[in-house]
Amino acid sequence: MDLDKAALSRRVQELLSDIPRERQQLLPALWRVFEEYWHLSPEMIDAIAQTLDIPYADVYGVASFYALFANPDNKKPIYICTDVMCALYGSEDLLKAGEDLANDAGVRVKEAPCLGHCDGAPALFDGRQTIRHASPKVLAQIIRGETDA
Amino acid sequence: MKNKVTLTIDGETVTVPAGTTLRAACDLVGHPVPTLCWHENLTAANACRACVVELKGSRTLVASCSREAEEGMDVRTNSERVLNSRKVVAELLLSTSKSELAPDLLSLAQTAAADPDRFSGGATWEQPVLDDNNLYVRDLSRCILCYRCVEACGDDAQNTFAISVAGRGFEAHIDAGFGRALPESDCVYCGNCVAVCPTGALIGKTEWTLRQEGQWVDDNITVTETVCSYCGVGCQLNLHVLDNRIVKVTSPMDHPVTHGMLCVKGRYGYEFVQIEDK
Amino acid sequence: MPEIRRLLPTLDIASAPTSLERLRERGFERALQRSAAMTSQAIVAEVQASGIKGRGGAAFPTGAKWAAVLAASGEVRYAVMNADESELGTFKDRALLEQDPLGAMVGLVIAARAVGAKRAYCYVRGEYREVEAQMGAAIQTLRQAGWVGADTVDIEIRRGAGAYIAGEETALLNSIEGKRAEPRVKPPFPTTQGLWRSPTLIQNVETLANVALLFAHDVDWFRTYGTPDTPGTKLIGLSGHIEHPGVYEVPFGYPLMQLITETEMGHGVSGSGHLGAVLLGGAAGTFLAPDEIRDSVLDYGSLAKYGASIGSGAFMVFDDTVDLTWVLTKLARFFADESCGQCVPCRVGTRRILEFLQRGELERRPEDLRDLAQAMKDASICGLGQTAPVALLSILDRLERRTNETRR
Repeated sequence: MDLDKAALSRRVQELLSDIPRERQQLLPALWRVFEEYWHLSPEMIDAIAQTLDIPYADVYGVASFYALFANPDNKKPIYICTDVMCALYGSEDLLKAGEDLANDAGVRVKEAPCLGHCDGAPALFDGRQTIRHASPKVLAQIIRGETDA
Repeated sequence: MKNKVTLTIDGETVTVPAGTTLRAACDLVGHPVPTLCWHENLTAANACRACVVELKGSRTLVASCSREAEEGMDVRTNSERVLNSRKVVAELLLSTSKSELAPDLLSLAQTAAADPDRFSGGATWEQPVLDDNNLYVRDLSRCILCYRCVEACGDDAQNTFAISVAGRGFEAHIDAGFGRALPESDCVYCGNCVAVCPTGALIGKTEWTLRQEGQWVDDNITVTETVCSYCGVGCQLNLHVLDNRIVKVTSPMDHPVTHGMLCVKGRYGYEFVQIEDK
Repeated sequence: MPEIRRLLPTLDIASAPTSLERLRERGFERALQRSAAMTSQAIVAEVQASGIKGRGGAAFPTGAKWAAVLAASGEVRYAVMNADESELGTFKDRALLEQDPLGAMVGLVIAARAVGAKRAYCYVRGEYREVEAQMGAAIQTLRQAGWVGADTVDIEIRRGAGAYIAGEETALLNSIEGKRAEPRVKPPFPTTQGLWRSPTLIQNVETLANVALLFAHDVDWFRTYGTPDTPGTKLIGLSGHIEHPGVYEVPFGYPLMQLITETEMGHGVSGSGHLGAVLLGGAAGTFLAPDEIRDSVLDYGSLAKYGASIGSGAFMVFDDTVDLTWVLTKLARFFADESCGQCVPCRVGTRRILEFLQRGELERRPEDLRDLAQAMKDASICGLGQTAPVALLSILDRLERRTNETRR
């Protein structure tokens, strides 16, 4: 195990230190690690597998099931709802604008299915909070990290 | 609790022990239902839905592989809805995966009069063959996601848990984790996944190589029974011999010791025998 | 007829949503005290007498479910609140939990007590972070007041991670257990074999909020609104081409068109101003034409005539410029993305329907689509695959009617 890997494994163990070693804690454990790194790499999955004593393939099988864990690297995902209701209110244009802007920023703009804010269309979810009636201006601010929103 | 239940299948009355599945009951009355994912020694996965039957009073059809017979059930194995579902299941699989080495799927397609082209033309399972070890090959273009290999690797037989179903929807697939090659995975090469694979998606390296070369001829293969001599458990081995060479080792699924499952030595240790012969 | 506010607090309510004052002001403390003095059997009998039906979409009689869990054998029992609201066009549980989270939580405590559960879970979708925080605060309030804890019932929040299918009750159980959120085969039902194979009561947020209201008052009060067959009120999520989108509470039996036109509610069609269609019930809902909307009230019997259902209470309004095939394609994409992949009819079927629509073959190959849709309805493991083709079939029916009328 090289140094980086060892450090990462220690960090994952730290993150999961107060989580009971039970199979039912897998989803909460995945969340803890994901929110630290905004993605789940093979090394992280391995560390979670070791810590919770669940087979590696099994942990990957569970993690890969959930759309919110599907992010290839540490660029924080920002989700724009492009489902029917939000699409009626221009969310597809918002997505395109966001994808262009995010190219140079440290974030990734992604499409999301219905976010449950159809009465505030178009809606976006920045990984922590939901923004209703999202405008290109607000989106740009979020992408540039100018707002906590 | 009563230990017998009486039900009707296609108009015929049958009494079976409590706990009998509808699939087994259908077999008993001579009206067998087709199955793809069901396997006698594995937990029913309920995944392929080829075995659905019509149950009076049920809104949907039911999977006969896992539904237990109950007193007074009225079951039909050949209603219009059943026939449509079977046919569509076969057509959907044919439109997705390669089927030449999947006898059960081919037979379902034939009896259901499936049209292989009806739902074709869209996304398929076509992907490169994974040839990353000396013992077996993964040709996942043939996979129908029956879950058998995962169960055999897991708590139904081997308890190794080297593979899992990963992803979801049409992208759901069998994976050792991030597409890991088998030598980097937890695989112990027992080959029990290969033994239960119904489609040739998992296939012994020797068989795969011979098939690639056009040398594999089913009719020329003879099977010799023996008992494995590596340890004292007493596993029955069926040696499949082609042109005086062992090309595959299996164990009967109804063998009381193995239930069809072997370890790496029994299943793949045969090259050693052949080297000694020379 | 104006909006009713029973499940939703009145607009002038001053107390903070998760405060002890709110617990008292809304009568929830009384609900907890009253149910605490009752036997399990008496609680279940009262729920049965109220006629509450599940508000998550299936409308299963709530009392019957509770009775089944109570009657099931097993030392350990669980109660679960399903807040994994992810159905397209559905946001009523979010609104309810934002405005009055104590209601559903009190309902969960009563449910746990009724079935003898010492442990309960709230499963909330991963995108509802504000709701999750609100739920946490509500649990804290109940803990401080002594209603939640080790010697009563412990409640744990479980956050989903982006999977519509996890809202299916057996998939939800697998998700809580730390497995892939694939639905289980039924029977056995969760009422007898749920979490870790123990009897488990799973209820939708809105259903539990109804329970809290019932015990804050009584059966007669509860039945003041609604129809004898479907008592009470229903939360409806109005969205799309509507002047005032939002969540509105109306009694069962309410005329559907009034939801759109009432000034206190929809306030009329936006966009072109002309109603084209309503997609009722969610992604697996049915398209209703303006005359069908005019002809229907909010009740299962009335809607059954058009093959429609209230479902999750999603009421998606489209003006007359919207191409419904575009909507269908969006729905098909949703189901293809959200299928768990376990069974063949749904895994491959949802993808093929999407491809059919993308290739513009809706009107060219209706028979093949109908065979596929029928197989999905008949042979899929769970409600997702079984209902994925419903909206498509409602359009196919409509096209067929139009063709027949032209021929005549």
